[in-house]
Amino acid sequence: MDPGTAALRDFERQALAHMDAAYNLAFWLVRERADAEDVVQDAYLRAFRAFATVTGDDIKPWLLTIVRNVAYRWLSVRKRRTNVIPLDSVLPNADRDEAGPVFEIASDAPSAEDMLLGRADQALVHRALDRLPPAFRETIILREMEELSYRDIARITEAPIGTVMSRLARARDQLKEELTELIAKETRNAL
Amino acid sequence: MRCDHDRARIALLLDGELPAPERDAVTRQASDCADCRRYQSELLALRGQLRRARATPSPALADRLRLRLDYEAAEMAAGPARPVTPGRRAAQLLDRLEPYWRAYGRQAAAVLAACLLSVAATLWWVGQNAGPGPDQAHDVLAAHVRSLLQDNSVQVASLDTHTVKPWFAGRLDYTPVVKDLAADGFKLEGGRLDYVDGRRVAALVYLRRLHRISLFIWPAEGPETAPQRAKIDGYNLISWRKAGMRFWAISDLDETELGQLPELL
Ligand SMILES: [Zn+2]
Repeated sequence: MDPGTAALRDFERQALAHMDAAYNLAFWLVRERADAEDVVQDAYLRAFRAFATVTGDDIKPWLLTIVRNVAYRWLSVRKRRTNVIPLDSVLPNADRDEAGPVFEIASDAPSAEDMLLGRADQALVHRALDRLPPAFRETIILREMEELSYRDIARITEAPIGTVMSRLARARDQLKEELTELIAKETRNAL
Repeated sequence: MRCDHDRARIALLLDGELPAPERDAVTRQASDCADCRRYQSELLALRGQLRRARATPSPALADRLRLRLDYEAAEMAAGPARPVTPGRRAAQLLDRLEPYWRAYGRQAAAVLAACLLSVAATLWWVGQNAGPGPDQAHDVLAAHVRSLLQDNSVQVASLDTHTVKPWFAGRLDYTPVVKDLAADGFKLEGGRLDYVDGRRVAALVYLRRLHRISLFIWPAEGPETAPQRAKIDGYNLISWRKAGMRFWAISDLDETELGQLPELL
């Protein structure tokens, strides 16, 4: 095997193991299946070209950083093209939006626990995630779906670790609220 | 949830971020206090809902990635003295493509086979002809075929030339000519970045009826040259140099019609 082929196999072995993670992140950022796959392909080509410069055993955070950068560039292109994505809510410095109301369940409402313990329709979970500000969404996705540490999430999203923690807490509060609401509404409609 | 406990610590515990000395105390808090217990099970329930909602790619993505990486590796490895090995590479790619075929059916398979044959044909052709760089012809054909393999052959769709041209700014160190040729029967579909001749280049996609045309443009010093043509396995290629730029047009479009492009650009 020549050195180029060896490098390719090495990259494939390490990088393809994280393809689902790369796709999931891309999907939740660009919110469109075909675009997400293009983002992954573009990101993997970039990653491969830069692969020789990477050190360390776990390339997942590095790979996801590239995916995220490519996804944001796509969003800005798509925004110019179609004007559907509110870019300022997408950019990392949109933190002033974080001062939303903090969620508290009214004591007589059905408990969030009861609602959440059932198996919610995936469409409801998707809708609840959609309603999150993108900075919250990417943070909770990296933690709960991709199981990354706060430190890795901070690196990938270029945010201080304290910001990651506060985004995560707010994302959880907001998701619990939205999801409980959506499930309750669904249950009412079903009756 | 009315207890006075610090619930943020429960989240830290579940995230595996709580320092070891505190773990026992918080674990106890989460089991002894009813409010904290409920909070913990909500977090876990939410986690379960989110994990189940993870988005998964189409089964073909892994194969498409491998294929693109293969091309990329071949292009990166190729110096000016690229060894011409017709057949072998195409055979490797065919092996690779099998799962993709299964997913996309026989029609796609036929198209792919034709594309791969033409890659092999180019490799043969470049051995026979002195032109504007045989590697370029290979890269141009490979890039065009690659774009046909994807759902989208463009990264930026065209509303008019003003959406495409600025898109290249910041992605390339030069500005390609982007012309609206709709009046001449070439509809600008959009643009993408591609990899030809060892560098990132602008690729424009035009449509003429149902025929897709890739037009590659990059800076090249030297005098203007007359268009040179080649036909490989159903694809027509034309290359010329003009205004400090190298142009390559490729399509399955009739060569007379494709031949109009050099005059229009
Ligand atoms: Zn408590």
